[in-house]
Amino acid sequence: MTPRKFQLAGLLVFWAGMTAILFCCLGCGQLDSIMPRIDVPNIPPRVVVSERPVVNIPYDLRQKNWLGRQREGSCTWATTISLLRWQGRYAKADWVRKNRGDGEWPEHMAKGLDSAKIRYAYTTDGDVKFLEWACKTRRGCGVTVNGGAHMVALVHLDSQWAAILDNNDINKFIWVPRAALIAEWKASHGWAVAPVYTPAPPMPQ
Amino acid sequence: MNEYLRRKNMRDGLLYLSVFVIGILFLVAASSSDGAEARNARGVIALERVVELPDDSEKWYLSIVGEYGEARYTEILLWFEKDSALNQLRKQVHFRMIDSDTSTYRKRYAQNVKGLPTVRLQKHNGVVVYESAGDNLPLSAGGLYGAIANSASKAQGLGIFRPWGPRKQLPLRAPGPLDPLDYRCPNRKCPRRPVEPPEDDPPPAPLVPGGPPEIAVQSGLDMPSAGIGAGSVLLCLFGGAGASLFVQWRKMYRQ
Repeated sequence: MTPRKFQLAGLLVFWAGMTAILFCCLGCGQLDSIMPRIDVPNIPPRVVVSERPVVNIPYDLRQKNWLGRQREGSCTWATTISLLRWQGRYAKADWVRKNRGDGEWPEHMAKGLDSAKIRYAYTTDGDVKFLEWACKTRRGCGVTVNGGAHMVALVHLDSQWAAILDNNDINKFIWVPRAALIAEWKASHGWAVAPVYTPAPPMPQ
Repeated sequence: MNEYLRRKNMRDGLLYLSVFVIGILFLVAASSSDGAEARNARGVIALERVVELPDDSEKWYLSIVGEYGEARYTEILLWFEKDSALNQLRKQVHFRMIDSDTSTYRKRYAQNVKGLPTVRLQKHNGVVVYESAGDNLPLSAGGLYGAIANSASKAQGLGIFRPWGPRKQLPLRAPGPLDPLDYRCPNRKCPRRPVEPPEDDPPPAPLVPGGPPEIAVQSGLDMPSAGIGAGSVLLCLFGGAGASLFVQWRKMYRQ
């Protein structure tokens, strides 16, 4: 190697060292401000297949209706148990199954939920926004039907359809037109009640 | 006459007093009945009722899936309690622990997890943002948070170009089993001992409305890499300066 080339090599090494100093002084995080920013190309959003119903309670978690100590159906509590299990409160659901039962009305059930320390929300004025909130947040809710004589779980509500899980027949979800479900519910005193915990995550996409 | 007036005044006074007392009694009775009716109308004092419905439909979901009582699963759950960054993330998402002996696991996770334990972060519509399982899980809480943060940044379209990739945080200690008895088992794989399921559910998460979590991507210099960098710089400087001096010296003394 000629002296001239050796000198040039030395200068190159020197400038490489100065560049390394620059890296170390600024830090990797700071370099973001001076490095050219390369944006992710504009990829159109992928098609997501939403789960139907949104509150897709597995069969093993569904609670059948049973006769309470006063020989009355326990549809409100059966609905609550299914929704509690969906929201991961298994121990609380088992406790309710052992310690609650029979028919209910809003104030009395609220008292029972308070004493059981179950976090809940409810409406008695037929507010459809409550149903929409329950399904949008994937928690579900119990709704009265059949003139107020029975309660089922509302597990899906969109612009056209509604799905319910009847604790008298837990083998299937029943799909009905949205308007029909809302009309039935409002004609049945418009009472809806929902436990408020963390719902199960959606199926992975 | 005076006696008559005196008796009349007494009688009137007694009449007024009795009317006053009866009025007070009526007032008290009316107030009590109004209070009772109000309480009945409202029902019991709502201790657990949620009045303001939380709008958390756009929150992401974070699932920690594993076998209850298994050391690695327990360790990861502890990270989300003890590590400040992971704990902060936990508060911003729907956080669920999924035990492998539950129907939820069997119906919704068993067919799509790659191993146990699994950490999965999903958007509100189910799109998986981050997932890691078994031996692929980072060794430290900081590593896990960094991995989640990078994935979340990409998912949220932040698109910052980093040719050297995320910095890996060195583990503070070698990972080990939580149960010291496991040291006596070959390859630290002991036969599973039956573990009693918990008697009660975990404390419920507070109801906080929100959407996608705000995740700060960690950056910073590691001391070991900084030392190597400084050493390289000094070497380059002295090497370059030394080479130039040598060339100049040769020119001078060759001439």
